[in-house]
Amino acid sequence: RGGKQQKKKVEEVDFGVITAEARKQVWSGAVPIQLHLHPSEITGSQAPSPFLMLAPRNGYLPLLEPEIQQHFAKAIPSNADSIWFDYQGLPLKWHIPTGVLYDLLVAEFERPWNLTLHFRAYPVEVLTVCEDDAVKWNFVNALKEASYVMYGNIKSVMNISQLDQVELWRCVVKGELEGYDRIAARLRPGFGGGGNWVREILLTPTCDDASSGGALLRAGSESGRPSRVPIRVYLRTVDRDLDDLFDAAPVSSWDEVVYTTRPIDLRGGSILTVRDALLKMVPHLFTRPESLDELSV
Amino acid sequence: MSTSAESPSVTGPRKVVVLFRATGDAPIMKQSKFKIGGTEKFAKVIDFLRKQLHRETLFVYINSAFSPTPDENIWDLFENFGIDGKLIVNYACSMAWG
Repeated sequence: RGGKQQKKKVEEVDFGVITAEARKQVWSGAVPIQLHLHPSEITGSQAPSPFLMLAPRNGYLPLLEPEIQQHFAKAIPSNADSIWFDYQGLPLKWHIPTGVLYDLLVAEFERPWNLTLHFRAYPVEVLTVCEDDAVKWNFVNALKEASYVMYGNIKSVMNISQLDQVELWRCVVKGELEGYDRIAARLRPGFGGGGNWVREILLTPTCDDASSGGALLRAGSESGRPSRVPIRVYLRTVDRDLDDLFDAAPVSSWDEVVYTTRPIDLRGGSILTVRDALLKMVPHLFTRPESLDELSV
Repeated sequence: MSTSAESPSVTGPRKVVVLFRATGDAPIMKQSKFKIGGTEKFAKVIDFLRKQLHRETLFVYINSAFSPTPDENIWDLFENFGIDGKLIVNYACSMAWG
């Protein structure tokens, strides 16, 4: 009986509140990391002490550079390259958010996450160059790509003022969700500031149906309500059967990781779950749908 | 064209037609249409352009709109952004679309 009551309560909860709370949790999430300078880069007689810090899950590793430089000031060579990191020998791609890197590469619980820090020998054959505002431009491009998927164009991102662009990026760097939301609202055509489009989609009956879509590109809407959301799934492949995920060897090359990006259609009016999206994106991972049904009870 | 829900890893390698378009003062290529395996990454397209044009620094865009990361899968890009059966790749020698 208690369960039933609880279920009813869940249905009554405002989707806007749930969304806001979930986003707050995601934005405040962090991974404790411990940085060790690579032994070959130790210049003095003594290795600098490791540096423990909190890395925002929603952030990018190079953005931690100011604090890192402060701690390792004495160890930074005059001919330093861009800062880079490796985990058990694998150079970390700086354009993947830190939380995604952690979840993707760490099979067994590891806290703090022990990373090796480098100021030299940037691995250009594995990582794209990270100079000047590369992290920011990577973010802006991801925003444009997402906008293209959601609305069929990038007008709103292109039309954002220089001042707003600077502020939006500052909010990403500082992890300020409220400030980010204020400007991000302007990236939704037709939504003159504010408004929660996830809630709009869930609560507004729609007469669109998937069959009228045609080519994906033409599905972008001018109304401001996206008909699709871009979802990216990172997959780590393991070349043998494992009883336990923990038995997997550490990822030794980025060839073991593939990522799939797909727009997921929101039209049709029903609530879309992460599982629905995954079934569409990576159907080959779900070989026994009946056992999945059992799990979802 | 097969259905969009299929994954390239399930149905085997498929080719994507890439159409290159020069932007700004970038040199125009004699041949602008190429086929590339769908399982390749976008990095391959960037490398190919660098070699063809003998330039280290290139800015590469999809549909004159955005630069994907070099890791992105060609088939995904084609499915998400392809127009009339082609993936349109713009290239420039200086940043073209901020």
